[in-house]
Amino acid sequence: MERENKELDKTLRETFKEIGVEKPTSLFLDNVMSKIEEIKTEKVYQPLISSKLWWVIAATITALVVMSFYTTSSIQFNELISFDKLKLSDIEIPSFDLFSSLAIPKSVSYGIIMASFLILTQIYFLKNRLYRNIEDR
Amino acid sequence: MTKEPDHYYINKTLNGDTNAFSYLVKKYENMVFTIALKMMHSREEAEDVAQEAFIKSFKSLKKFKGDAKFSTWLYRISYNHCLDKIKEKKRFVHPENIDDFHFNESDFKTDILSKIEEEERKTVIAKALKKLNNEEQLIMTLYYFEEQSIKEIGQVIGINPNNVKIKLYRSRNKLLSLLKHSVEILK
Repeated sequence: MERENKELDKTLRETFKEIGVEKPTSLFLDNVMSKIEEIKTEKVYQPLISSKLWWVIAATITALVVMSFYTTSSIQFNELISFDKLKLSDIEIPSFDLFSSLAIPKSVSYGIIMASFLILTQIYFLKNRLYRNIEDR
Repeated sequence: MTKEPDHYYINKTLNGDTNAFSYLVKKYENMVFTIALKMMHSREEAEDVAQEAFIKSFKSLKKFKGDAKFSTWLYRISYNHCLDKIKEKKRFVHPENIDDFHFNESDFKTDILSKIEEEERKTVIAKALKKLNNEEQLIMTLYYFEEQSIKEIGQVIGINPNNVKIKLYRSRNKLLSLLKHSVEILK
């Protein structure tokens, strides 16, 4: 039985070699290579925001969220950026009091943070979808 | 065409020399086209699908780790691409019901082939082969023509080696049943 199977395999192998494989048209190689050349010249997708910048944005948002827990009921902009301290040797920069009247309630700051977070998440998904579309082309 | 191994051309392609990829296309175009033809059953469609398979493999060449042979990896991409195309078209090829041709194990298998005249054998086997289903045709071609191992065939069609063995055994018996039927007609 074993011998018969081996013989049969040998005969089938020989016959398959005789039959050979199918051949595509003579233009096959040229067609493939011209399509590959097209791909090569296509503009490579470059993300607008690099991954490093994404980390910076994420860190900033996290810092803002953490800060919002340690602040009082409202955030005073002049507390965050104190222009009084900005002095360059002899030149004394006059102090600005632009934001002293601008007070953001805590709930609004939470809202802004959440909205930014959602927008950034949406950008991430849209970017991935766009990238997939480019790859599938 | 030089006799450098596939890896040489793969690395050249990855380093930006796209012309090096033409060597790989030239080397494997017949087999990839054969796989596509066995699955699609139309030369025009098979040619398009085979071209797309090469382009797909070019795009994902970076992902080729070299664990398996390049041919196995390429045939797998081609096979999967054919399946995707078939799914898209929702077209299924119904193979001839060959259960009617019962193959008796006690028959001397090689005898069937020897009964067919040398010149006719090629045509008869090619015709019988077309009556098997897509997967069976592919397994037979990969095993007998391409001389791929059971393990490699398993990697191409995504099944385990034991299943390949069973499918190969069944395909061979089906082919022999069909050949036996042809011999009876030829008598």
